[in-house]
Amino acid sequence: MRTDRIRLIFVLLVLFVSVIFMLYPPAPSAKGFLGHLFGNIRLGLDIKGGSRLDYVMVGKKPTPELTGQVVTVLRRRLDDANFTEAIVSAVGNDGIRVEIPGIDNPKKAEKLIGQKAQLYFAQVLDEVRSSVKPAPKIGLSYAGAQWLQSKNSTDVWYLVNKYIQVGAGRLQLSGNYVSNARAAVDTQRGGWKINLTFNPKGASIFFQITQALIGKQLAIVMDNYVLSAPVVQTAIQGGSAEITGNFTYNQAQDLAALIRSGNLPVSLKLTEEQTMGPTLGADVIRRSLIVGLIGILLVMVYMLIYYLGAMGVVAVIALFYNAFFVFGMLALTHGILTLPGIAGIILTVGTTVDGNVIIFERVKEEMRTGKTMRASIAAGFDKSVAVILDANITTLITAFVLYYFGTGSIKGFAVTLTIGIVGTIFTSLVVSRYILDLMAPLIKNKYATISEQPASIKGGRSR
Amino acid sequence: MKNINFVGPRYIFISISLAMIALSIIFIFVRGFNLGVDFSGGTSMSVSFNNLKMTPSEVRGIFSEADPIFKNASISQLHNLVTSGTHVKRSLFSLTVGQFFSPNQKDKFEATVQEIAKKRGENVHFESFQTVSGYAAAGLRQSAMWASIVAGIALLIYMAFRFQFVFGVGALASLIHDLVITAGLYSIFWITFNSTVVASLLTLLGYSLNDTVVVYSRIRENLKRMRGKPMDEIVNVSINQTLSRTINTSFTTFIVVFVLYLFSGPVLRPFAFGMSFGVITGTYSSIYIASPILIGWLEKRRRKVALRR
Repeated sequence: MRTDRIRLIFVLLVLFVSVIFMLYPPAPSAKGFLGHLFGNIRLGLDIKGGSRLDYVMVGKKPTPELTGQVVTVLRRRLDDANFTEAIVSAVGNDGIRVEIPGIDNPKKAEKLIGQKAQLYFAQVLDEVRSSVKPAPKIGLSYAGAQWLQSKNSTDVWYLVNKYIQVGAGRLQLSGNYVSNARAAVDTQRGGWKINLTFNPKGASIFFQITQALIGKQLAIVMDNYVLSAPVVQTAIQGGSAEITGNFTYNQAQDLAALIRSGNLPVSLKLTEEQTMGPTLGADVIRRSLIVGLIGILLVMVYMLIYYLGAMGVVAVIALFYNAFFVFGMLALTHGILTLPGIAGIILTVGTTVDGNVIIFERVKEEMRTGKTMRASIAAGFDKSVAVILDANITTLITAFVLYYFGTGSIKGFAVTLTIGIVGTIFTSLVVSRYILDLMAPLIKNKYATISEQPASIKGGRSR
Repeated sequence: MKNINFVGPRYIFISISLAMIALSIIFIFVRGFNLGVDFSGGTSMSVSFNNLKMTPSEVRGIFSEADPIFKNASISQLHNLVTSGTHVKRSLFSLTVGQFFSPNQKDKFEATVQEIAKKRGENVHFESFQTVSGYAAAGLRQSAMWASIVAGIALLIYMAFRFQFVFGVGALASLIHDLVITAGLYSIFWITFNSTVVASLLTLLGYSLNDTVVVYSRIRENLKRMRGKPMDEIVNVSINQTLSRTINTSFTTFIVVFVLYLFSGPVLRPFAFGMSFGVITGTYSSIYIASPILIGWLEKRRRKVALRR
């Protein structure tokens, strides 16, 4: 039969594609049979462990450009600090989401993200030891000046002015003129320092400033703390400077990364944090796997008992087939499997069985009218198509809505549910059909009175 | 084939359902929901101890010493946590408070808890941590609301296309029936109501509509085939013909979600609760509510058509 052959080709092709994408490319960290089978499925942070941090931008009116800028800066910062798997994305019109997989403690990432990293150079007008902020100084020469705390010793305050007096005019030098920043060993004082390189314009401003401030203190200010305030010895040409302050290696690295990646144009306020430790994650996935398997086994046993014989076997094969389909498509589409996503897969067991039950019941009814097995199967399937589509479209509608409105983990549910529904439709209408047809000679129609009866178009019971 | 009379005692079942709906509505409006931290704002964390005999009150002691807000925290013990590869067991607790923790507060708080636990000879690990500000919670509530509204409208549009008016009204009635009663159960049993629960309720809408669609399409078929027969007989025959499908489908779905409810961790349990009981009400409503309430309308329509002839 030609249609049968076409069905077979589709059944094998889809299965082949699913299995191929599950196995290829081989997951590098895969261990054991199950590891290889599921190694290509990306797990959500709520399973494999990791952090999701949601921020809202404050300080400026959010525009798409501003959001893009923030995302780029954060992306660079996280890359720099080796959180290369982190995902930074804009959410809504003023939200920023950072997802970092696999880390036990998000503290470091939080620190990197939370800083605006606004770096600038300023003229030091006064230096005071005090436990509280000194009173502002009044006078024409103090216009625009402010008291800032030292980063290293909290009781040292500097009166700084970022508008640096150069000749008759005033110049500003901010981190935007820095083209590179590297941590380096501080050979003179010990510990670590940061070497800055300016771009050409920055180099020329830096030269003019250092020329004007010879013998005076120049403060390097970041996020309103004075990092260091060295005395300028000579006018510096060549466009390089250094920030010293007896940093540890890690401090110097982080600071250099922050300066390199540029400053954030806005402040970010944390609105939501979700962190999942890897131990709990592993426990969760093991439990979900066991739960899923128990559920599927119980369902298979029930189907085998209820539909003794061929139909029960078809239902079991359909369940396996759809499971391969769902995992294969997850691997193919790089969908992320979240915890609610597992629930979506488990629900797919229900929809797959549903599709088969609708068909089996119809076929049984057709058999009662005395048709041959093949004719019953054909009529039963034809009459089930509309119902199966109807039943699954309603679930698809909700899945789409959930995908659109849901956050990370709910989206995962929508994804597996959608794949599961598509798989259910295919499995019910094509896979089950093929196998049932194949098994038709093995099934005895106990209702058939005559060995061969013409397939009547009008099924159902007699009036 | 066996023929069970479903539509005969329909007024009894419709009355029971109305009573259930009334009870649910009273609970929802008077008692409200046990909102999860994602909807209400606040912090929920799970912590493990190497001491397997740890009790919730001891945990409360340690945590409220670090921050007095934990005096009123909701604390529950979960299954023991086993680190994969090893056989090291740790007792696991989940704690929920209504306060947001900023990164700095969290750092300090965790350090303080570690210190206090150490003093008492306990070893504590923070296994998971979720903190939601009021701002984020409001946003999530809003998107959950929009999701529900859009899903509702989309399903209504679908039904309008798929059914004649009478059937649409019947399907809608059974949808509202299932939704209200399941939501009411969350309030009655005080189960956490979070965004996964909204997903569960919306999926339930699809499921409940499935059941109804199957019975309705059979009624439509039988309306043609059994012309002249009394309406309640047509409806009853249709329910009986689809009964084994309804039962099999619902039962198998119930098996998987109920296993999920029993054995999955605290994250999926609220979700599985709604699915389990939703499948039951959905099945019940598609047998006893969705179709029987059609009988009166269908008869009226048939009389009208007959008059016109």
